[in-house]
Amino acid sequence: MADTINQAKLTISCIAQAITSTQQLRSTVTNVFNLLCEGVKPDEDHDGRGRDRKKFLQKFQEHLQAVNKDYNEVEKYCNSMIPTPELQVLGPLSHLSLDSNTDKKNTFRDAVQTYEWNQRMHEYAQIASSILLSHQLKRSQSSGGAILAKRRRALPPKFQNMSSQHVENTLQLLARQPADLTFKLIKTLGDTRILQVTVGRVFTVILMLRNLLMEKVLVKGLDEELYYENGTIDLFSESQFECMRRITDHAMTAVLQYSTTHATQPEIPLKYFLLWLQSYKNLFIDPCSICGKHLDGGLPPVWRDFRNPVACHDTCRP
Amino acid sequence: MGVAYVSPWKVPAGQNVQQNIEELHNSIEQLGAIKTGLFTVECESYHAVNVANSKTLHLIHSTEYPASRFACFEDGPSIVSDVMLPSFLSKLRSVWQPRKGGRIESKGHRYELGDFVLKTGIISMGPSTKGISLEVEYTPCVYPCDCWGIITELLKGFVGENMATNMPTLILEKSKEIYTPDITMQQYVELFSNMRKSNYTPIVCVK
Ligand SMILES: [Zn+2]
Repeated sequence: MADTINQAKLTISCIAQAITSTQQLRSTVTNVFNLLCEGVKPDEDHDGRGRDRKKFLQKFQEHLQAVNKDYNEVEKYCNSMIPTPELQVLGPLSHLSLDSNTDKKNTFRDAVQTYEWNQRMHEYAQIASSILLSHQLKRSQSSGGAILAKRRRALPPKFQNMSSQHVENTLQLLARQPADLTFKLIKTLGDTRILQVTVGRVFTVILMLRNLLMEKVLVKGLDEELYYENGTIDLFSESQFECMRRITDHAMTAVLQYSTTHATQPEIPLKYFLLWLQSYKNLFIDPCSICGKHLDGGLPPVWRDFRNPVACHDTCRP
Repeated sequence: MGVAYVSPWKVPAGQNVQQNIEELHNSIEQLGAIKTGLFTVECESYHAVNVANSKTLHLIHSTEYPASRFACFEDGPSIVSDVMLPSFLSKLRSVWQPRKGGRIESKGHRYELGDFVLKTGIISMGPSTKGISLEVEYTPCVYPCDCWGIITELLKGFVGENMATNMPTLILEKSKEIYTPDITMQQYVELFSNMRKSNYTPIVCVK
């Protein structure tokens, strides 16, 4: 803080000196113009035109030298002035400070203060994040930092540069592979596609894709209505069946899981997700692989592991 | 709407229907089921006047499907119609006439457990009580062959391990097709017909 004040004081004295020397420069320049206006005057004592001219040139030269000297002075002060760091960072906003009209409105001062607070908050956040990273709870195999970094690195390219034809071909290829899944493309809106995937004789999944990135999953019973009365697809009403609502939740988790851990190629998460969905084809037939029963609180085994998708109750997870 | 299984509930000797149904309610509530209201299944039987050995026509109304009327022939086809069917039948009085004492109903409580709907009803014909009906419906599944294991597991939870797990013929015939509510109504018709026979003893739920 003291540094900044000292620097500001120095800058102010510099500016004062620069103004004085600028005034000096103006007066010497005026002298030059005055001399030029008066032109060559006949000498009273001696009568010779050659001498007058010589004398005039000499005077003109003297004046010009004075101008040069003052100009050098001004330049020196200008160079010695240190540009204030805030003004540089603030960019175009710094021009506000030059406008005398806005002095009445305090815009610039407020902006600078806001900027300072913001800067401080940024510093604290950095300190906090470094502290948090060093005291992290390691609950999963990969650390939170790694997941974050991966997500940041891996996600953005998937939106970009993907031709509609490529997406179409990939979807057709994917639709051919898993048995027990039936695909139906319901709607295309630019990059967004809505797929209806029917899993065996168990349920229907509404899958919203942006290119090949999964954005929304909704699981509904086979006899539930997927459309509104006016014929548009219903993407938001959840299933009336509790087990389908549970599976919707798990499916959303699966989407996140596969999108973050298998993000090397855009179609891989979708492929893994469809294989995971396929594991529900015997939802009502297979008992829980852990406790061997069908029901737990009136619900079938609705949970599937992301690596080894076998029937399992929510409460029996290994 | 899912797959439903309708079964009689045996009243042990020395116990009356009221005591027994309270016991049944207790064991259902112990599973964690929540009472969600009342239900009624009414059955009115008709017979053709001028035809010898004619099949009986049962007209069924269930509170679960308030806008529908189910018409089932004994051991035969059934149709689903709207509320106008009874008044239409009364126009055909010269052909179809209500049977005497043909009115039988099951009335009771409706429970929900997860996606299960359980209905326990007291079956009565006029002033006399005939027995108890138990309906278990598993709503998310539409194929009986797929969820039969689930339904019997739930039943075993309060009937006991020694219950018969065979699929009733009515469901078995169409177990690989999508289940429709009229199969439930046919099960009620079958149950009511059995109840009418005085010497009938339930065999499905052995306690
Ligand atoms: Zn289990």
